[in-house]
Amino acid sequence: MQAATELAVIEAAYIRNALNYARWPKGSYQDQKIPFRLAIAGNAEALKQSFDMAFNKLNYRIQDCSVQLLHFPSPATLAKEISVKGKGTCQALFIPKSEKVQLKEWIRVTKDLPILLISDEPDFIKTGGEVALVPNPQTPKRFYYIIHSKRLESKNLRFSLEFLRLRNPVKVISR
Amino acid sequence: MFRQYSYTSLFLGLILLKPILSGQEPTQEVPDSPELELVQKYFEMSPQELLNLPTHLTTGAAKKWLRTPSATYLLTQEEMMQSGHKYIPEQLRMVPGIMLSHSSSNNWAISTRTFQNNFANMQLVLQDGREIYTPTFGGVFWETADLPLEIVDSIEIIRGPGATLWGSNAVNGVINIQTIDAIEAQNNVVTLAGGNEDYGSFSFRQGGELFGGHYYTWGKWSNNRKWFTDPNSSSDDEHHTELRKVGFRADLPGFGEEGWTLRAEYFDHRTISRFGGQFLWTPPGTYTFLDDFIDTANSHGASVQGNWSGTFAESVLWKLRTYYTHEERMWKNISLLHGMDTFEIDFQLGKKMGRHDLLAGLRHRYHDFSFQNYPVSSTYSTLFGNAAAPIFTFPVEQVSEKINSAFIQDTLTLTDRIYLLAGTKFEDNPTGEHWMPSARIWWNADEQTTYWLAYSKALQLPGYNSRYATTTSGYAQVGPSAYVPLGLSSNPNSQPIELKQWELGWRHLFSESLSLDIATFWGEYNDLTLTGEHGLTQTHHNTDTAETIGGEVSLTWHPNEHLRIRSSISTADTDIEGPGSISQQYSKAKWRGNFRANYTPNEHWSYHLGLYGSDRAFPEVPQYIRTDIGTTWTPDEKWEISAYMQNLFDPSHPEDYSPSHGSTIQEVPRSAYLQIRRWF
Repeated sequence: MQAATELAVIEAAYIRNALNYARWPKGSYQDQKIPFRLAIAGNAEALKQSFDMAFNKLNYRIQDCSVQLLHFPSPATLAKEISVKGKGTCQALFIPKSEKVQLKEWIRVTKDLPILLISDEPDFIKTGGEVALVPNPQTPKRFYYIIHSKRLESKNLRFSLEFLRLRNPVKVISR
Repeated sequence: MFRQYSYTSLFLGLILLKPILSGQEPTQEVPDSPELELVQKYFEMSPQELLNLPTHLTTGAAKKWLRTPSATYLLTQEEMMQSGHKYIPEQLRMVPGIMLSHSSSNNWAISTRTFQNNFANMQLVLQDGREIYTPTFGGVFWETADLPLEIVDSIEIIRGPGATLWGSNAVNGVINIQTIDAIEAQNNVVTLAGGNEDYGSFSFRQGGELFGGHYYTWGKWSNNRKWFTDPNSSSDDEHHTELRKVGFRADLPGFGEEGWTLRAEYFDHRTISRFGGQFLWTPPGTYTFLDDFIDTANSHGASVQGNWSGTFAESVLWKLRTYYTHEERMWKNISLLHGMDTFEIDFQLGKKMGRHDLLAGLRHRYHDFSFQNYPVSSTYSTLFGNAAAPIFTFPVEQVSEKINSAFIQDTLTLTDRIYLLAGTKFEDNPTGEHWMPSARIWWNADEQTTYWLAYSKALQLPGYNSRYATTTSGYAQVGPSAYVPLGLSSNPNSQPIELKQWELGWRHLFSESLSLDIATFWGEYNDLTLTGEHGLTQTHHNTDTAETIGGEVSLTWHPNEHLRIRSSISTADTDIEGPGSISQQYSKAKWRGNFRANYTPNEHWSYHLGLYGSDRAFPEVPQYIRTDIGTTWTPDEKWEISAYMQNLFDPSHPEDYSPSHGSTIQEVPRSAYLQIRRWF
């Protein structure tokens, strides 16, 4: 497997890690015996393959649920799905850095919905996002999280205290 | 393949808190391609393992721990924070094989396996690879070794000799305090604590980005109450110990693929201690001990350290570490000012070649000592006239010493499951040229079991005190008003203490929630020498020998995601022989043990219980069992409030006895404190 693909696997593992510790408002997801719906925005082929192997072939789970993978090529396709299914469209959306020019649009179409946005674009927080996955400059193949807790709160989302208290590279921004 | 996968889960379950693992149930499929195996590799990792390099007790490191051919224990930050022990030395109470006694409110007698007293000098103590022991007597000033727990990643304890890798002084064990990476300290935190014995403590950690990397600053201030009554003080509330410490760490890119690390710290310490008075010997055999005296000690120091690492020629790993420290310690009544400058540079190379994993290194260390005696106190001048002498007298004011060393070791894969590690260190130090070889062989019988056998030779350099200092511990009355000072004379030809030790160990994972670690040892010490207690005039000579035998058993069990239990018991029997009669100086405790339980019913509450016991250490120190309890409430991600009671069922008990600490034993009192931690 090429190094770039290995990096995608690691990134996928980091995303699943964060999602295991995220908490959604009651009634929006946890109480229902349905698969966890994880969406991928735009073009992220290597990551899609990693998710496919992890969730469809190896049957890894998120939040103790099976995982249904979704793909939205553009903000418009996501907006269309949301117009039909509302907040149940998905629980989390990964926006790759290749979508940098459309970051604000992805954020806009999911505004006020309990959909957790996570991106590997370093400027994601500055752009208005909630969770950024940033490469650790000291350690190859390792990342750290930047979490904007106020934005999560505005969507009634949060991370568990266990996650925030792990002695680990999780940077929490509250303002 | 399934078997391999199953044990991977087992390791996860063993080491990590179960709540961390929610959502990580075993998969049903078996990977049948390299790609799927790669996915499984990373998806099986815990959050902590993904976030950090796998050098600590995480899944990968659990395998590493299982297969490590030495008696090791890793105290994690989580374990330390749950314990309620507020000071770094006190944390070592939890470690199997560590003999720890709280001697006074700011002093600990700590040794690995045997030869425990206040001057314990046969173990190497490091902070991020920087030696924090003092060559003056070969021991550690534990009272200034404290750090805020928020910056401590872990404390790694290796029991038994480690001289091939670490050099002289790594005799009974190596204790390495490791601070966290700067990237892990980007959340700021402030901690306040206070109680009936600790008047208060305050610590902080503040992190940020710097030159494309990360940094953090930290500080700690603590103020403790003394455990004795000072007859010269009008108030018993006079503070005993005050420590102020600040530091900085930056992990920056450049200078090697993994970047470089810069650390710096400064400390200032003041303490009031009680010392035993000198004795008066009136022939033919009457000893009269003079009154204890209270001494004020001030010390301060600073250090700066740089680490670089990377690879060249694609597969050769290199590491470079250098540091400089300066310390000054002044004892008012002992009339001694001691200064020390240390510079060290260490370079290591590592390369894998087929079945060989080679590691080699070079090290240079430079010490510059300065001593200054002040006039002897008027009390002793009045009593003993011209014979009055300071407790310590150094004939020279300044000495410089160099230690150069080189080592090489090879880990050879003999079969799929049997490995051999062999190596030696050559060291040129002030006592001569020495070789310190070691060999370890281990057998991974299966994925759950490892057996290991080791032989090592290690050397303890004689302290500067034994080579150059004259200790005056008393006086002989030779006439109506005529006295002669008595004590311990220096011996510039003092030789290193030598230990040759065999170790045998077994580790086993019974299930995903239960593990057992057993290590046994037998060793011979040669050239033992006095370390400086009361006695008639003698000279430091390498006269005594000793034989030691013992072992440690430690058990870790977490029956469910809420409960974690750790327990260990250690025993050691050391038989000292020779004309030096040094056995009276050391603790006679044959066993030590601890039992600890942490119960975390939900993310807001956790409860801690700790039991610590010891056999009779001295005639004056009976066996004891101490009980600690505590709870932590975490209302949200910003606040953490803890309350702890220590020594719950006992108003006080002694843990250590040393004549140098006065005629009355200082006892560990029952204590309670409240701690508030605020994250920003």
